[in-house]
Amino acid sequence: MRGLAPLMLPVALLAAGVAVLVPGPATTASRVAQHILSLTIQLLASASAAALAWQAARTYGPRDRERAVWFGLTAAAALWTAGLILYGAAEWSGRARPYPSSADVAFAGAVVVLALALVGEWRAVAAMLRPGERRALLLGGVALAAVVVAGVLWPIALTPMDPLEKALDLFYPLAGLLLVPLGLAPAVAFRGGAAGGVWTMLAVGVFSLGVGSVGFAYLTWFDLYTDVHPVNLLRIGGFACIGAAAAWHRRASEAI
Amino acid sequence: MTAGLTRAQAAQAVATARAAPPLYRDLRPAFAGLEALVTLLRRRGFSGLVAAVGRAGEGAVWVQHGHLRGGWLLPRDRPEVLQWDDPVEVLRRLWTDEEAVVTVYPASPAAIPALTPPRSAPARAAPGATPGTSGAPPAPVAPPVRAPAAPVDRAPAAVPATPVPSPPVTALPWAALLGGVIAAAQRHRGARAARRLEDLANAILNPEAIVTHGALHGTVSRSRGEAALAALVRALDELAGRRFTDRLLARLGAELECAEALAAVRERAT
Repeated sequence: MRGLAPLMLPVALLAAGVAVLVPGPATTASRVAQHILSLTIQLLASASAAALAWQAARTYGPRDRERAVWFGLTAAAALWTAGLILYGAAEWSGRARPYPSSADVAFAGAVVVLALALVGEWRAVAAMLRPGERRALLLGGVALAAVVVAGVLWPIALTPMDPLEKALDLFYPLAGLLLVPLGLAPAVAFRGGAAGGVWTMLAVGVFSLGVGSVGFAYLTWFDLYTDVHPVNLLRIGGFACIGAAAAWHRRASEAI
Repeated sequence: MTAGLTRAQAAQAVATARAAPPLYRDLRPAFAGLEALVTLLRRRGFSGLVAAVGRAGEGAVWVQHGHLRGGWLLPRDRPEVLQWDDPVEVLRRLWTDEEAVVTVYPASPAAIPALTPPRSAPARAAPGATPGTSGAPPAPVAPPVRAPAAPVDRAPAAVPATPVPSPPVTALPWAALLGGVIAAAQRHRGARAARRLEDLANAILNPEAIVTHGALHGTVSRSRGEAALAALVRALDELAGRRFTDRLLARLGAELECAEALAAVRERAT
């Protein structure tokens, strides 16, 4: 049971997200409470992922290459948390439409830093992958992105709208999904070991964030997105997976 | 196909190699793929002899640092010695018989006979051996039976002709140390990482010993053991980080009561 303790927080956050976002609000008061709780749980999910990734990074020495990878994941989750705070502030200050906003600088920065961290890990493990596996991962990522572009993003790309909003609507989902193969590469390279499980969970988290971003882009295009929409469960789940992966990684590294 | 070796020479070379305990015994083509075996020996940087007996006859192929260096086939019903430019052809012929018995013997890379090119026939057989019937004319420039003579000092009863510079010392529990590092890599970074470490270790340990699935077979001298462990430490630094490696070495040092020796190996590896 003690081994499962680090996983408790991410699991609890995901459960809380389900409890808050799935049932429809009945009264105005409960609707307000749902908004507050939804934002709070999203904040806690990304902030706890940042804290757990920080702890995972500290299991490495100063010259270890994976230290930079886990610090990158820490920075990405922390930037996302900062973005959520800015988004919440814009929304609660009464702006009619807090998207795109200054929060997107932090959100986009988080995606870029996440990409840098995963590219760093890819470069380290690429030599351990067979050529066929490398090809399959890259083609899988491209195929996934192509399906999403054809099914969801192409109509958005053709719609006349604010160029910044359109760019962000395309950037978040595409970047998120193209990062999935980078997260899966170490899972394949370390298959059979604890690190293989860790990176599988992390790849699931990245996939969840990517699919959440597809939903976000689709919903904002139809003006249907709110911060209490169940699609936010995918982002809560994504960060819960990243946090759980970091906790698992720390535990596996320390318990030799 | 060429014929440049007498049966007696071939038989003597194989007999010498067979004095060593086999690494793999009783392999059968029915369940052991030729491609897989050759790939494994190449990846391990193996040196020694692959001997096979089947309906086609008796075959032998020498491997040096993982590369096939030469071989021959002694057909069951004919007196000549058959050799091919591609030594794997010997094994291919024997692999057609599913019940052929294949045995792999380790040997020192320095003891591998110079079999390439096999075209010039040796002038005479080893002392006491029956002259062969290859029919090749005596070649005045051919080396005097260099190939089979080299490994003679590996026979159990023979006294080594020259002093061994670093006699086998088992001051450290190499099996537990090397196995412990590889097992930790397997647990934490998976089977592929463990195989990489095994390949690294085997390239250094061969032919004294070999590590397969984390288990050490053979006797390891101190110099090779230390070199192999230092190589594993460096590789694990890369794979899992220095702090992980330090924790692992501290645990192994405490468990096996060799913390100081491991600290020295760690320093060498850094």
